[in-house]
Amino acid sequence: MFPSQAGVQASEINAESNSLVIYTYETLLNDPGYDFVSAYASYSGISEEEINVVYMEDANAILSKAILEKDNPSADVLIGLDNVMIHNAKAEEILESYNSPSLENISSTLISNLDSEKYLLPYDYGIIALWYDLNRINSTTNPEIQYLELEDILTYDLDKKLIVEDPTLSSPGLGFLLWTIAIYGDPQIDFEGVLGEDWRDWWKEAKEDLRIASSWSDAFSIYYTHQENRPIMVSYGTSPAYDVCHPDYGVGEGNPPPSAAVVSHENPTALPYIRQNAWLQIEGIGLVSGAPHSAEAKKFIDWFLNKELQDNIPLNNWMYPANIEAEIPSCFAANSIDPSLFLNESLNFVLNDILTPNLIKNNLDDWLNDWEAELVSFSPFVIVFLSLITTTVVFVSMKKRK
Amino acid sequence: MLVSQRKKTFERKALVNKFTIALAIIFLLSFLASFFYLPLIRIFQYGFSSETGNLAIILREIITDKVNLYSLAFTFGQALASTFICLIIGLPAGYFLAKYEFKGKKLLINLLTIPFVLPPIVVLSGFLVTYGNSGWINVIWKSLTNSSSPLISIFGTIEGVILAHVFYNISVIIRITIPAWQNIDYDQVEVSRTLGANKRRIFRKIIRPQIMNHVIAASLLVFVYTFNSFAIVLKLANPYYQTIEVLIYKSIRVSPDFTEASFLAIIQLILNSIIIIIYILFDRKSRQSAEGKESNLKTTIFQFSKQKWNIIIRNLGVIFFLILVGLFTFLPILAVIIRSFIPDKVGNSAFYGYQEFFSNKEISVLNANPLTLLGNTLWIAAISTVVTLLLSLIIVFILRSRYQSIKRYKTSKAESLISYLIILPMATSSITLATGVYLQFRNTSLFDNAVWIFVIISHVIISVPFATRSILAAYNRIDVELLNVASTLGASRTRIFRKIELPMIYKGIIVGGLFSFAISLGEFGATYFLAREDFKTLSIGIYDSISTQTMQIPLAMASLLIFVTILCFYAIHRLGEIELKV
Repeated sequence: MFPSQAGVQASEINAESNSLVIYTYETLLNDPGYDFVSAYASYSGISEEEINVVYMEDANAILSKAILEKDNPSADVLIGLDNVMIHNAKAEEILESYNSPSLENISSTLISNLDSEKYLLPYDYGIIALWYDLNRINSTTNPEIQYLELEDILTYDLDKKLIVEDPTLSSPGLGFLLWTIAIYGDPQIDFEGVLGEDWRDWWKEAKEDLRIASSWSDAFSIYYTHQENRPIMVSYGTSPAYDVCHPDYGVGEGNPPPSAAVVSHENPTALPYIRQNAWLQIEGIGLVSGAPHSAEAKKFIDWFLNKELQDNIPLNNWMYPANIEAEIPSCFAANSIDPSLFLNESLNFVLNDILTPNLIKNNLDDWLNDWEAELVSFSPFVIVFLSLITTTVVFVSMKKRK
Repeated sequence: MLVSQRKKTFERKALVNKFTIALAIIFLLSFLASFFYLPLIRIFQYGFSSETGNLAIILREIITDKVNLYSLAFTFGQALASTFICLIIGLPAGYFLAKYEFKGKKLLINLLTIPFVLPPIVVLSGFLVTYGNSGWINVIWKSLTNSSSPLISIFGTIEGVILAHVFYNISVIIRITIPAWQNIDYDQVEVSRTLGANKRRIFRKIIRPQIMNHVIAASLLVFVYTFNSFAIVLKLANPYYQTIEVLIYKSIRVSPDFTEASFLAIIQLILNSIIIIIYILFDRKSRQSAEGKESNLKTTIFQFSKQKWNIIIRNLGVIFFLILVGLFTFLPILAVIIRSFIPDKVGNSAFYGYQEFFSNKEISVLNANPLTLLGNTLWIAAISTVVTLLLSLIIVFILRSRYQSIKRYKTSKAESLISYLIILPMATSSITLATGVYLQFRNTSLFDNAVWIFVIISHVIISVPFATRSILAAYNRIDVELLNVASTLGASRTRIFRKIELPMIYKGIIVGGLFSFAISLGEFGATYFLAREDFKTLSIGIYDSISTQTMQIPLAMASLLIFVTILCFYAIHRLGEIELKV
């Protein structure tokens, strides 16, 4: 029974009966769940069996798989690459530019912030924020949380309560790393940032106390387990809405929200108002270069950016829809930080403006490498020395007994 | 005329024999070549070529890269420290277990072996449940001291990795050193004592040389395991500390950089080969010295007479020590089973994990049905076992064909070639193996459509050395004369194999089969590497869901794996000796 089952499972991928192959991450629109496959099937008339969605662990996995297959792609559409991965995706030439007619309803600032050349088209967006449990952290216990600056995390020992995701493995984690870089700057490449210091110093001081999880869901399980005593995690500005509006896990609209989210409030130029600084994540959908079913893929992308699907983004993917006509439920809007406030209002500051695509493209690999190296807190020479001694001892004792 | 006719039949039979052996050799070599040696060559090819820029510069960058250097140092350092601590605890424990006789001693020894035979992922979950921040030890500590900081912090610390490795490997030391202590020639000790040597001198001159080979062999074994640790380090220490295995995995799967991954894999392969060769040398020595010896250690029982209170204290100390070691190694396994019955949420039943598992509802973090995972695990293990046994039998068949040659006891060329060819798979870590297979086959449609074939192949290559060793051990007990008689009476090589050897190594085959079944059941590294999202087994299911809010489901899966693995090893134990895997 089992071998045959696996046979079916396996042959589905790439089988010629497919008319559309989509790579995406596991959690796309899945909580509580909107079945976009059957919705598209009934919209387009293609049978559900012909639409093959391959779910990957995360967006990084989508990118690596697409890069590995680029000479002979089996996917038509990639969903979930974001405004950081786009550089790698474009450098590897895995995508094809597509000027979808649906773009007329997508905010132009969003398009230019993701990719003005339209290799990747925005379908949703949100800001990276620190999400905290109001029962355990609030303005009474920690007044600094209200107008938090990144420096406060160190000053008030909030790093002992914070969970961040590994930026080499997770996209919100990468967003947070870029957030720190944009705030503190990088003297090695003469990048001022907001404060004109060095982002490495922040991590150096925080690394012992932080908890670094390998993925968002890993981080969430630590956050959720009270014994771990870590009530703040790197997540999205929309996360508090989940705790209120989710049909199963939310407390319901009108009840006091169990959690809140905050961005950082550095204000070096002493503006007369309190400025919010945030890193914006824009997720995109892209047409694979040399896609086997290119025409069908374009039709799917047009549909994915349309109001019918975009209406389902807030309460299933927990991000803001890119389509300006899409409805945003009042519960969702009331309990989340609206990223469009950062895009369209001068009061708030979107860090993507100073940490430009060009800077990211040229430095991302070095930054990630430096970040990894920054975490190591022992000297390799001690160990090399120890190993040498042990080896000598072993060899001497071996020789003696001969 | 009769003579010439006989001669003709003899020659014809010799030809047939040669033909079958040649066929077997060709089959074996083509399997090894296409699924092991070609992938290995592919690693070298990628390791020493680069599409972008000057190779020498790129290689220098890889070698001098800070993260790589640190990881290399960490891999070495933690393996050394883990081995050392295992020795400190394991050597006295082995001695006490050899020296003292008490009720339930055999049971204790068997219980101590259990962590070692379990899949790493199960060990990891037990470790998390016991020592994690919300694990038993820390919760008890926090409630006792009213402090909010944990007693042991296992995430992102070197201590965490070393503790997990010690817990996992301590049984290797204990199991190998018990016979070492038992086989010491105590007559020599007595003689030197009558001649006036003091205790220290006796230990240095007589006892130490006799146990040294065993101790070194056991330490090398522990060193290899901890050097190649993957799942434990990936879960506990990443990104603060990484072993070379984790680095290889990440540089292929996370940021596709084939040159770097391959180059690291080559370094890993070379280091492993050196350690394995040294291990084989010492293992041979310790086997030779143990051969044919009866245990002549005088065992003592615990005595509690009123007069000798210093002996009582010593005995109590030993008992206390053994209980501690037993608790240390067995508690986490017990914890997995017990914890799988403790509800995480109020209102869940004690059997929630098992109910969810057998109701076969899709688990959202896994995107898979639990019974499919179980099914995948079982049939992959079954097929791997069959293929492994087939290959191992062919190897044994080739290795032992020498009895047919006229110059009877000379090692044939085929034998020495084959015995070298199967050493290398032993020295290849599962991640290196998976890297090779991946690089070699990733562009084939077979890899896209039926990745399970490659999962099976890697399981087979990992378990062939063990299965071969179990079968050879049984084979070596066959009386050679019996085979020669059969051959003189005119039986062909295949007939001898079928009628005499096969029935006599039957037990060895079952043991080898159970062994490869158990290995395949729990294999994590290669499976996770090759088939991350396309094909999931129980091990991967546990790994992916261990950090979700309901621990009950992954722990129920882990308990199932514990149950099946223990069953396998109980059967092995009944049939023969548990060979330690290399």
